[in-house]
Amino acid sequence: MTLRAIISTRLGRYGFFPVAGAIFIALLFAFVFIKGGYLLTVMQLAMIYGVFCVGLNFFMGYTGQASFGQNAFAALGGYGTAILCVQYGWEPIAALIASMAIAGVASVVVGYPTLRLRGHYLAMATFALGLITYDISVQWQSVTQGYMGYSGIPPLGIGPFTVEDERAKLVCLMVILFIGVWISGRLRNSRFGRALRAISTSELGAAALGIRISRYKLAAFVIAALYASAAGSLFAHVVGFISPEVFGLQMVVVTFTMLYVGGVGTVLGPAIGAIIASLLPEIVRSTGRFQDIAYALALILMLIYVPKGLSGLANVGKKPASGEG
Amino acid sequence: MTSATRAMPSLIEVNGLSASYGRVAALKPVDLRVEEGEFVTILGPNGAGKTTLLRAISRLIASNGQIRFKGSDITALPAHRLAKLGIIMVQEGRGLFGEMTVHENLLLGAYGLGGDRAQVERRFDEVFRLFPRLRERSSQVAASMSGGEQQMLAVGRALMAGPKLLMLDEPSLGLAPKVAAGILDTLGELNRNGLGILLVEQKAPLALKLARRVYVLASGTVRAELPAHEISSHHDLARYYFH
Repeated sequence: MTLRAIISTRLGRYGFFPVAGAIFIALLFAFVFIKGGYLLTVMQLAMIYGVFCVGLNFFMGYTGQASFGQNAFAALGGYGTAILCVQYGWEPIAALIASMAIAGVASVVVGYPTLRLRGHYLAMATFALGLITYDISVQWQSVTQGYMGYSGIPPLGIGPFTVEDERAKLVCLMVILFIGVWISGRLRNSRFGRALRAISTSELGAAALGIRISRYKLAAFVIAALYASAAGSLFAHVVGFISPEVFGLQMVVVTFTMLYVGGVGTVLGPAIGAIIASLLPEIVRSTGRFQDIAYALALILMLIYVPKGLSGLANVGKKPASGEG
Repeated sequence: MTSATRAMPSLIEVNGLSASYGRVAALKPVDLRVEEGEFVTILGPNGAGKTTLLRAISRLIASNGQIRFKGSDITALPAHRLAKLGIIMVQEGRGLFGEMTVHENLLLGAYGLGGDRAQVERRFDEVFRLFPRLRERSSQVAASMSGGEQQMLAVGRALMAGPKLLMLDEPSLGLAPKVAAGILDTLGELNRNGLGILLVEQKAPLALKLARRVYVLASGTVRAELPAHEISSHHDLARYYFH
């Protein structure tokens, strides 16, 4: 089968936008691998943010709840892995897993009372959580080293095998993001995922079917925290340095942008959003001092013309089946 | 006659159930019962408290009073536990998960069955026998279906839970008369097979054809409890509404 025939078959099956999107992303990665340099770092960070957003999507997308405080769990992951590796000489992978466990326990402790709140109140409470964590990371200097942060964090690896080459790091992060997305997709279409999505549509309706709302919300919150912690740890191992600013308010804004640009509540949307929103500043950089305006304009146009996110383009052109009577 | 004086406890018995929205009392203390395999209809004008009554029984809103199911006090149970007991409500406006497919909505109905695939499949077969259209629409997104099909899905989803008491809040709302009659015919068949049904309905002629007993609700109180055949016309009903 020729390449043309393959593309023609795929176009017929999946539609133009998914095929074009897949080709674009494949070419993009090929270009980044060949060119190397700064773009490699941009894509590495995009993968890390992708992991964070895939997790956030469980709570905000599938379950339809608001959280402005998941950066707190990324900070737990980042500082946990940094302290365990730098001060206690742990293996990176062990430190990453231990940090995820700590973040998981912390999310249960914090989430249990907080998730009794709804809507704006929940959003404000989680926002406060992020702010408190930021303050702790600045003030508790004996543990976090304050604004100095931690440097010399070892790269990812197991035993004598470490991932130090920048291209290898990107491949490693791509694999991790792929696994994260795969788990998200599997869970979304499971009994658990359907319950989350039911809660997102109608809490009363879900409860009337026997779904225990509080338990599922907490589960989604914990999963989001685990992903966030993993993202925080990955950042520490890939960049080799962390400070309070890494997990500050900027992270909340950036990840929200990624989630909505890609498509909140979809499986691939968070990963797509992380890649596009990471690349966008590089694309608009050529506009010089207008780059912030160009960035904002691009985001606004995307949200106006693709309100369901870029992953929503997959459904463009598809006719909804209609009923009668 | 109370359940204490009968040999068998009622399927559901409500005593002094009241509910309010803020300071507004939507439901003043109400007594009501449905026997095993009985078809009971609640009639009443807009704002009578019919929806509030069903929601209070389902524990979807806070309420006072006592609810007994097959003789057991279930007043303190949360909504999700009631569903597992078999008390299932089809909400006004159908309460479907619009962005999910028909198949996914039905699977959510069988949520309480956990991983019992054989049982889930049996329920699917039963629902598809009653509503063949749902099998055809299985992969269709619920929000894109017609009103009649959505109502079939809402009832089908409730049946997936294996209800012992099925409560329906105005299932004919917004449907063409022929479609509404079809839905109610199916409810009649389910009732003949032994399912207890508590139906809230404004279209009295449709509901009275099937019901054995009727409660007339107005201004949050039960104005009358009588056999369905005793209500002969809208004129009779108006007398209770404005009593």
